[in-house]
Amino acid sequence: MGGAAAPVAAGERDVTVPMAGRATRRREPAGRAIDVCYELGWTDGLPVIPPEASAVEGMLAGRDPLEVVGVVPPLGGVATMEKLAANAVMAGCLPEHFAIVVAAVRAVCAPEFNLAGLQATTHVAAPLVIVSGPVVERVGLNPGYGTFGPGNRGNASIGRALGLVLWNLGGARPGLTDMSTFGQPGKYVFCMAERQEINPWPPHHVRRGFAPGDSVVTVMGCEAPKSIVATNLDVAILKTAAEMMSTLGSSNVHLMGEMLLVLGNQHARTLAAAGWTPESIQRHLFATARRRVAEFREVRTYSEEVWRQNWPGFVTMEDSSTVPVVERPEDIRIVVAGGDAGRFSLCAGGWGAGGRSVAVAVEGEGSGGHGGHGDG
Amino acid sequence: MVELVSPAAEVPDRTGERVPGLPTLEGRRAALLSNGKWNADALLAELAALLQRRHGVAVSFRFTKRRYNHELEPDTREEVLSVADFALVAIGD
Repeated sequence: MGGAAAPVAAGERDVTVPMAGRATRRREPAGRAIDVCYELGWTDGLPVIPPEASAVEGMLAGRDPLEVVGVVPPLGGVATMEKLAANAVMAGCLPEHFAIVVAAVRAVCAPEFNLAGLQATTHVAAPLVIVSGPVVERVGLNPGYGTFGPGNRGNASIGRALGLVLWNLGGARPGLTDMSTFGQPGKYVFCMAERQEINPWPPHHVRRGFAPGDSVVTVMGCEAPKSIVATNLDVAILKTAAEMMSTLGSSNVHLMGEMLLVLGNQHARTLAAAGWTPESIQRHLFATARRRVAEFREVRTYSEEVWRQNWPGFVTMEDSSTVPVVERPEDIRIVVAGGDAGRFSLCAGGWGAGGRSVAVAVEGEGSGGHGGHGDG
Repeated sequence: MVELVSPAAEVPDRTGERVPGLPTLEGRRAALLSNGKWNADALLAELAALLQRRHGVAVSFRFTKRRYNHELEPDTREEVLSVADFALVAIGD
């Protein structure tokens, strides 16, 4: 690539990065292309589809290859459309998946997501891509049985494409820049879709302020999901969920942030039939998923000063006072997905208020531009 | 032969210059910056005591980040620069 250094806006801050020129190209024998990808460090360990120029052009489908979508920390690689297309090709995306990948990259590059922190943290969190709205059905994503995988090309390749972007443009390297003590499988692929056909409530993106006809990608830094098995009674589901969400080993109870609750079909239907709404579930779990201050003093994960700074003001610091898992009820993000069988839901902790989830409309779908970071 | 498009970052080599070291620690003012984890606080306390004992360093500023995984706020950085000659940073888990 060529070009002089030029400022590129990265959210609220300006950082100086090289002018985004055309990506470097190299000619290689076809039979060696995959090996070359390994030799050049372009893969996360799994094989990739070599990013041949013709396939990258097909992925771009007429988009400006030099359009800058964001700057990816910590390395500061410029995410041009062309670079994103190359990573999407390698991940196995089809052209109809690409707008979702672009939205996901816009989301993680938003300042409030704090990707620099997430890429470098010792925590286990990885960016989870949640796709909701009509695009789920239109491009054939799987919101049902096995939405977290395996088995669907869209779910798998969109999640992998984001992982490769973080690898290739963000420079995430275990033990060097990515200091996650263990990593997690979600750093390869972490993508799911919301299943609106069985959702008794408005979809996640509508509750964040988008229109029902919009298609939206929400990206959230998440731990691996934990299973919640509960019989189909509303009190049982909510009590069990509260128990799973409020473990002392989760960063949430110490530092707040957000938490994801994925309700399965049976649990969502049971709760809706008993009159629960996402908002009343959030309020109930905010009140019941708690730990006593005395328990924190036993485990001493952080200092009292940090707890005082992060916990809501109503926590008195008396031993008997109770601490919620998030600062406000709406920070429990509720999504409905999964198959019809099984009395299961999932919850996943965030990474301790290190960043906020960000939702971005998928271009060309519904009313969506790319400006919306709906919250609420 | 196939033509491959690089998916990787193309950024310039980063060059930086080290800030010159202080000629002496004697009588200097230190800022203590903690990420809020227990061992960070313990490490800073030990270091501050050692520097005071050996070099007469005074602690002029103490700060604990609200969130260890966020950057130091610019205002805090400016305050450190105005009241301290050097800063000790601890990130002990």
